[in-house]
Amino acid sequence: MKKGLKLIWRYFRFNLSAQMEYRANFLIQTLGMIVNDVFLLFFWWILFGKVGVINDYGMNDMMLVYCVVTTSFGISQVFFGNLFNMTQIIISGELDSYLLLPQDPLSHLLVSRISLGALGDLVFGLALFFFTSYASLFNFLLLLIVSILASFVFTGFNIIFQSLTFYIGNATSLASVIPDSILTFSLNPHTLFTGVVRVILFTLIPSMYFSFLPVSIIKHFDGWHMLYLAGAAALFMTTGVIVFKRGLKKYESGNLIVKRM
Amino acid sequence: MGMKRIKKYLTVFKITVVNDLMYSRNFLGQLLFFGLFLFVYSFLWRVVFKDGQIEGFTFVKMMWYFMFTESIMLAKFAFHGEMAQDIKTGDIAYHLNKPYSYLLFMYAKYLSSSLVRMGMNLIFGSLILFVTLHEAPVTPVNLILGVLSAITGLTINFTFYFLIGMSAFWFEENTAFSFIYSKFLFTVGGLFIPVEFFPEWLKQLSDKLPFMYILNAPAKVYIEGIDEFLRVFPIQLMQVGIWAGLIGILFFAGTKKLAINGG
Repeated sequence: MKKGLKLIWRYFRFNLSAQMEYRANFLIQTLGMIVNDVFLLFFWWILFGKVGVINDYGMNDMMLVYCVVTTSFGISQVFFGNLFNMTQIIISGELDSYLLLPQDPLSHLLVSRISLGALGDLVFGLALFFFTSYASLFNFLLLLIVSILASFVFTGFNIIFQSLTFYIGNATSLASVIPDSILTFSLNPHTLFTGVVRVILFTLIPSMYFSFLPVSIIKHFDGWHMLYLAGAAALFMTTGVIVFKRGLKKYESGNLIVKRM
Repeated sequence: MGMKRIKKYLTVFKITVVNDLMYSRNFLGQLLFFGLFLFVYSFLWRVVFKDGQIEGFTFVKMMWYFMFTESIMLAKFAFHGEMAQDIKTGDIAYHLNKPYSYLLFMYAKYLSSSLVRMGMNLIFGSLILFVTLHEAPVTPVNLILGVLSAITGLTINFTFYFLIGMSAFWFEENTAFSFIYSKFLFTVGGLFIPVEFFPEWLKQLSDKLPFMYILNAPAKVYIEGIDEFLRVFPIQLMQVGIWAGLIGILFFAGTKKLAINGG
């Protein structure tokens, strides 16, 4: 555990300093994503300006949803920046270079890249929190905890789908739609979704753990909800690790020579 | 322009269409994404329009509006990155010495590729909406006028993509321009929410900008028909004239700046 955390931290520092070498690019990508997130809120600003409240959600609630989702997504992509590239790495045979090293291949693979756009998401989410009516020190700590847990749900779920490539061959299309579907559902008021769709959002597309549950914990703190979220995070991460490890046994190495800089 | 000169651009158009159709499997991911968007936003709009209409839009009209704007948005063939790269590396010289106009060559390529994608999006999106909503506020005439307006909108978009690509003549790093442009389309272009929903000041501002004539105007023509077409189509043509004239002049100026090394 301690070794794993050390690896994440060292890679984070290394990736960040490597990216800082190209300062203009660093700023464009990070600030660009912040601007992008602000523009996404524009839609809700216009809509709430026109209709007031949508199923108990107002602009303030929507801002909290954006805080949680962008912060969680940001954490996942800043620290596990290779998450969306797993399918490609498996297909191309680049995985070989991770298998030869003494570290656990999954964690090593995930942490070896940083997404600068996601760094913008993270900054945006944390800053936006102070523009909501929920801003307090206690709630900020809650935001950090629930966002870390939600990022594990997101990461674990994506590992499962990215690892499908081991079993069914090229799963690029499927694996690329998964994060989009989680995010698209998550960035809407959860009260819109009822019946079967709601059940799907708790299981097949776990948006409820990524947005609704963390948001409700910040709004009305409930220890049981927190445990529930922690349980979901542990379950999705464990399943992801198992699916990857089992899949790895099916992996056929290529003869590609890769130089990792 | 003689028929013979037009024919070569029609050939480029035809080759690109055949090529895109041949690799139509590549569009699968995009269509899945499109279907997902329609599905999720149907929940939102159903609740928003539960008490009737807002600014002339009902739930059904809103869904068809959104399907149309998204069909155009996802169809645009983004050639500006490649063009900027060609300018930076000097590879554009290989195009300039050929017996065709680079601008018209790119337009033929862009329009054919965009139309194939738009056609697929419209067929797929309409099918989903027909199956789920069982009603469509559009007639065949609306469809023809909407597509005509969309082609004009795509042409306005072409002029902006060309401008962004051309900016490489003067700026080393131009990704920020395309990013800002896409955000304008997303907001004041009326991609997710019609311009009619905007506060008065923003509506007036959007009216004066070209972006709503790329997405909002064609989608409104599609759901409202001939009257809307007669209102916006002349403005769209005027926009094409202004921006096409500008890129013509700037491209001429840009190629004068181009330094080509032998070797």
